[in-house]
Amino acid sequence: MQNKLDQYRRLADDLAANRSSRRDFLKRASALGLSTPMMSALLGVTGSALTLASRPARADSHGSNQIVVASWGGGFGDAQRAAQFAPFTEATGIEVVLAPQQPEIALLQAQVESGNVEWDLSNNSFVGAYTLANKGFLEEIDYSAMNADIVDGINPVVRGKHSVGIYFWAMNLGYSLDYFSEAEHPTNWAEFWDVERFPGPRGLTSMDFEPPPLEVPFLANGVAVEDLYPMDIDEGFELLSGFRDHITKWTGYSADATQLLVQGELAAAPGGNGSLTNAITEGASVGMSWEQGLLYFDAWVMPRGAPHPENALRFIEFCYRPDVQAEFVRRYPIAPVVAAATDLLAPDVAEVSLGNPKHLVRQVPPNPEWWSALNDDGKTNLELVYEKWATWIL
Amino acid sequence: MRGRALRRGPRVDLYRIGGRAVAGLAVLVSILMVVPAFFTIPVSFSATRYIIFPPKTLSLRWYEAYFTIPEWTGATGYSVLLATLTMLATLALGLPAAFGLARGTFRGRKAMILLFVVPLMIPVILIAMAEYFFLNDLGLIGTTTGLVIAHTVFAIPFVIIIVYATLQGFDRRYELAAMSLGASPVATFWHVTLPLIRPGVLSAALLAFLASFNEFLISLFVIGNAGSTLPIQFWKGIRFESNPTIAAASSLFIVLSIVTLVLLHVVRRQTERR
Amino acid sequence: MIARRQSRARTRFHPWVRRNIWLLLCVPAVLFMLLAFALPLGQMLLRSVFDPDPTLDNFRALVEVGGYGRVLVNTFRLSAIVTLIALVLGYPVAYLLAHVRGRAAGLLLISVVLPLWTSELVRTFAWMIILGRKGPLNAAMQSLGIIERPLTLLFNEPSVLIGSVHIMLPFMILPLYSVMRSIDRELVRAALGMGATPLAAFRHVYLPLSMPGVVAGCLLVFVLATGFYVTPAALGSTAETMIAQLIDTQGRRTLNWGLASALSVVLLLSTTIILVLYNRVFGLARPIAPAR
Repeated sequence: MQNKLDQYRRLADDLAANRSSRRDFLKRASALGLSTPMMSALLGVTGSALTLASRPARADSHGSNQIVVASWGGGFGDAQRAAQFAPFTEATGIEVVLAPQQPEIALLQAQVESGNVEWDLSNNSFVGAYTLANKGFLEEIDYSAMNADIVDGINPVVRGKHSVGIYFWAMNLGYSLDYFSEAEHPTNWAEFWDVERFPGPRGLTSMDFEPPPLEVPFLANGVAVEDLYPMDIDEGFELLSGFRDHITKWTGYSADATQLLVQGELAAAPGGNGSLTNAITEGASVGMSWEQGLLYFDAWVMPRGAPHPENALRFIEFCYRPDVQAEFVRRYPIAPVVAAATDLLAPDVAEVSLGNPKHLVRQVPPNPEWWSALNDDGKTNLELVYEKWATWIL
Repeated sequence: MRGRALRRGPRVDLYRIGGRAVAGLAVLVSILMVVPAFFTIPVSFSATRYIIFPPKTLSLRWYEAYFTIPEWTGATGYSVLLATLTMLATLALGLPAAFGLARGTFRGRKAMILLFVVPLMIPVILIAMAEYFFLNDLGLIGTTTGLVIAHTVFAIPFVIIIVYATLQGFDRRYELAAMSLGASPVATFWHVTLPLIRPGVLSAALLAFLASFNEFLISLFVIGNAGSTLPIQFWKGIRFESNPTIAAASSLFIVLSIVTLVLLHVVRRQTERR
Repeated sequence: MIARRQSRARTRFHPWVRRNIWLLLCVPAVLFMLLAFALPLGQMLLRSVFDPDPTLDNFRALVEVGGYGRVLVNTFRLSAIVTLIALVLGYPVAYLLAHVRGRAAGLLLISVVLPLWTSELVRTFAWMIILGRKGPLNAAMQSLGIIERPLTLLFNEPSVLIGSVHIMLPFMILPLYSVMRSIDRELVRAALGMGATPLAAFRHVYLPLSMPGVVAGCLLVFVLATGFYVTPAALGSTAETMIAQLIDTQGRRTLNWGLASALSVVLLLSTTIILVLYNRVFGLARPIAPAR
C-alpha cells in the first residue's frame, strides 16, 4: 500500500509537472489497479449544482439549443458560470441552463427510473459517479466525437468510460484564528480530534454528503494513510460516537463550513480547499492546513436518456480546453485535470492552487475502488455509509 | 414614537392591571418582533464573500449579484409568476365560495368552512406530502400548473376567511335598495356590492399573493425540475452558499413589505374616509 | 316595471339553480379542495401501510429505531415550549393591542403583521446573524460588560426556541386579540367598582373571558410548530431535529416514501386530536383572520 501511495504521488507530481506521456500514465494507472472500466465507473458521475434554472416551465428545457446542467452553487457556481458556461454560450450559441437541484445521486436515479430525464450533465463526486455507472444510470462518454488533442490532454486518471473528471479538490482542515494562531493550530486530523490541546467547538461534514469523510475518524485515531483501506464502516461510526459530543454542527463541505469558521462558531472543521482559500485571501480570520487533506475529484456524467447528448459532449469538450481550465482555477483554486492549464497560471495563483505539487503530495489520495466496491447485498460501501448515518445521527 | 405608545397605553383603559409593566413588556415584545429582520441590511453591503456583522468594507456587489445572477433573477421572476397565478386561481375559486358561505344557509355549510380553513391549521409539511402524492400521480411534479395547484390549496384559507368576514360585516340593505330601484342582481353586484367589499377583496388577494410568494416547504416537495422559487433560493443560500447575496435579497424584500404595508394603510384610510 | 324586470331576472335561471345558488357557488372550490387536498391526505394514510406492499413495517421502524421515537418526542416537547413562551410574550401584546387606541394601535398592529409578511427564511437568516459569535447580540453584551468573551448562541435548543417563538408570535397574538377585542370592558369596570383588586378583577373576570383566545392561540401555535422545518435545520444542531426534517430526508432525499408517510400519519393524528379539541373549545369554523 505504501508503495501504491508513492506511485500515486509520483503520478500527481508528473501530472503537475506535465512530464508524463499519456501512455505512461495509463500504464502506471493500471499498475495502481485503476483499470479503465473501473475508472470510468468511478469517475463518472455527476454534476454539480449549479442550481437553478431560470426557466420556469419544463417545456423550455427541451429546446434543442441548450443543455441542462446540475452542479453546485456558491463561489464554485460563480466560477463555473464565468469560466465555463458564459464562454461556452458565447462560443457556440448553446445556452447552459442550471438545473434547480443539487446534483444528488438519488435525484439522478429518480429521473432515469421515471424516464423523465431533465439533466444533460451532472457534476458528481467520484464515489457517486461509480455507483451510478455501476447501476446502469449513465450514458457512455463518446470520446471519439471530441477533438482528439483535447481528449489526450485530460488526465487519464479521471477519464472514464461513463464520466470525465472535471477537477481535483480537497477537503482540508480549516481552523478559526479566533481560537488558534498561525503558529499554534491543529494541522492534521489527530490534532483536530485533540480537544484538550486544541479546545473549541468542532464541525464535521455530514456523512450523507458525497463523498462522506469517513476517513477522518480513522486518520484521527492514528491509522496510517497507507493502512486506511479497507475501512470498517461500523468501527468508523463507533469512533465518531466517541467524538460526537464535541461536534457543534454537522456541515456541508464547502461554503457553510467556511462561513462558520469565519464567524467563529466553529474552531476547527474540514472545508473545501477552494472556499477556505478564498476566505483567507479576503482577510477572514481563518486558516487552512494542507496536511492530510482528503483528495477528491468530481466528474461530469450524462444520465441515460439525457435530452441533448450532442450539446453535452460539445460542452465537455469545451471544459477541457487548457485556457478554460486555467480560467476556472483562477476563480476557484482547485486543481485542473489538464496539465497544460497549469502552465497558464500566474505564479501567485499557482501558489495557492491545490494543483501545486507541493500541496498535492500532502493530500490523502482518493480510493474509488473501496468506496464503490459492491457488498453481498448489492450495495456499495458508499450506500452502506449513507444507511448507517441515517439512523446513527438521530 | 414607541415611547408615546407606551405612555398612552396605560391611560387608555388597561384596567390598572399590571399597568406600565405589562404595557412595557408588550411594547418590548412588539419591537423584538420587527427589529431582527433589519439586521440583514448592514450585512448586505459587505464587500467580502463571507457573512460578517458589521461588514469591514462596504460594497454593492451583492446587490449586483442579486440582480444579475440568473439563479436569483430567475427565481424572483418565477416566484412572482407563481404568486400571481395562485392569487388569480385562489380568487376565482375562493370569492364565489366565500359569498356562498356567507349568504347561504344550506346543509354542510359548516363542514365546507372547515375544509377551507384546515390547510391553515395543520403543519405545512402535511400539505407538502399530500401535494407531492397528488401531483406525482397526475405527472404534474415540476410543472407550473402543479405548483399553482399546490399553492392554491395553501392560499385558499386566506381568501375565504377574509372575504367571508368582510361579507359578515356587510350591510345588505344597500343591495336591497339598489334592487328595489331596478338594478339586476349582476348590476347590483358590480356597482354596489363589489365597491363596498373591495378593501376586503384586495387584502385577500394580497395575502394570497404573499402566501404563495413566501411559501417554501410545499414548493420544495413539488418543484421537481421546474425553476427554483425565491424561498428555495434563500434556503440554498442559507444552507449551502453562505454569501451575502441572501442578505441583499432579504433587505430588498423587507423594504418592499414595509412599502406595501404603508401603501395598503394609506389606501385603506382613503377608502374609509370616502 | 320593476316587477317585470325582477321576474325576468328570476326566469334566467332554473328555479332549482336559483334556490341553491349559494351552494352552487361553493361547489368548484369544494371540489378542488376535496380532490387536491383531502383525497391526497387520505392517500398518504394508505401509503403508510401499503408502500411498497401491505405492511406495518414502516410503523414498526418508528417504534424500533430509537432515533425516530426521539425525534417525535423532541418535536412535541419543543413545540410545547414554543407555545408556552409565545403565550407569555404574546398575551400582553394582544392585551395592549385590544385596548389601546389611535396611532399606537396602528403601530402595534403593524409590528404584529409585518413579520407575517416577511419570509420565514429571511427571519431565520436574520437570527443566524444576530446570534452569531461575532453578531450584534454578543457585541452588545460584551460592550456592556455582561460577558467577557463571546458566547456560542447558535446551534442549540435556545436558538431554535428563539427563532421559532419569533415566527409563531403573530399566530398567538391574532387569535388572542380577536377574542380580547370583543370582551366587554364594563364587566371589568364593574368588578373594580365593587372593590376587587386589579389582580382579582383580572383573574376572575378578564382572564376567564380571554380563555377562548388563549386556547385557540396555543393550539394553533402548537400545531404549526410541530411542522417546523427551516428553523430547527438552520438554527439547531442534530439534537433539535424535528419530524418535518425527518419526513423530508426519508421522502425526498432517500425516496423512502412509505416511511415518510408513516411519519406524516403520526403528525396528522396528533394534529387531528388537537384540532378536535380546538373545535370543541373554540369552533374551527370561526375565522382566525387578523382584524382588517
